[in-house]
Amino acid sequence: MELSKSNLNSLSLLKKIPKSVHQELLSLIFGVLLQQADETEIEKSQSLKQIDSTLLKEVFSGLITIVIQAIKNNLNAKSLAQFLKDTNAPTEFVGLLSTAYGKTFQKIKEIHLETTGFYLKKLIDINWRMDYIIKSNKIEQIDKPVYFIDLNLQKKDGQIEKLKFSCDTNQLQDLVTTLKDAVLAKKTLK
Amino acid sequence: MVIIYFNNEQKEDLQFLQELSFEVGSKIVQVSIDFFKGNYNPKLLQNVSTKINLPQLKVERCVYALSYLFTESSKLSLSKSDFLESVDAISPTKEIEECLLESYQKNREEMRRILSEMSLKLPSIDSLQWRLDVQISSRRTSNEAKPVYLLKLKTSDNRTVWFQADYNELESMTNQLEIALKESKSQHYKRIKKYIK
Repeated sequence: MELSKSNLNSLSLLKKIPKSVHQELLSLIFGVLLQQADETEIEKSQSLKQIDSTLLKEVFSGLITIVIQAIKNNLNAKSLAQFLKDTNAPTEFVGLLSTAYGKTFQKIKEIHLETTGFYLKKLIDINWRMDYIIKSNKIEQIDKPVYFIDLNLQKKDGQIEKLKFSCDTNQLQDLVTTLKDAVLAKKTLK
Repeated sequence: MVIIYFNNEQKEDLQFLQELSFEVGSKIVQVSIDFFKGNYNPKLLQNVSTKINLPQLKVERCVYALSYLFTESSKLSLSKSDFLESVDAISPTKEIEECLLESYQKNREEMRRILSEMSLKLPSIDSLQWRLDVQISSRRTSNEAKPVYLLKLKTSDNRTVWFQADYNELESMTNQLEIALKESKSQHYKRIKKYIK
């Protein structure tokens, strides 16, 4: 895992923060990552408020980056601890951080990384309806079945877009054949 | 038995058909058919009107009235006897009547196709293309191997929609559509079809 110099620097800056505050700092960081807290917590905490804000900012952002990079690289708690030992982070802190990381990294992964990747609209649901056309104002005695298909597509931000189209029996047959081929392709893959 | 009724105006417009020769009459019928299909030929109309020495406007109105006849008969899918009975109301010559009937029967399917294109409908599906990929990594995650389907759906109103689906969704979509397709062979559908006819 690669980290920028400034991130690594933030680890050594930890020495300037009193040990008693370390745990609270960690709770804040993981709280933010799990979306259960935000930076306003700093105002509420007496001990955190007393730390020089520039220092706090640097340490805070450095640590968050380290955690996210670790998740991106699929590190488990042990490998993270190993990595941090090679830097100049205080040992006790490393222990606290890896423990907290071990408990929460799956959840953080779910919340942040799997939902902010780049992707196209995702198919989440399909509805269909079959009608029988009798006549219209332009032409009578039609007597044909028609299918209405409604696909639900979800965008990155959770918004759902509906895609509607119609087809006759032959087109539906072609569609089903195409889809069956697609499904079969995956089966031969694994 | 379904018959088409002409209003008085139309009857008047079609009056002079009674006195026309077969040659001229058939030309007018042809123009009406082409008019319906969207190929309006004013030059031919001009030739005809000068030949029979009538103002072009009068011939034009005749063409409109004949188009009405063809539109309505195709729409209702008139049988031969019903068509002839409707045509009777304007009492054309025997030859013109035959000419009308022949044109109707020859062009009926195409006219019905054109009418159904003009009818109310939702955009229909043109094609669905798919591609199976394995997602390996992205800016935020690495070391994964997730199979993902890329799909491109084209509809008749020239819209192209790209979307992705994972295997489970695609499978469930396929199953749902297969069920839909089976419906067209079900007893319920056959019963309704029979009942409506």
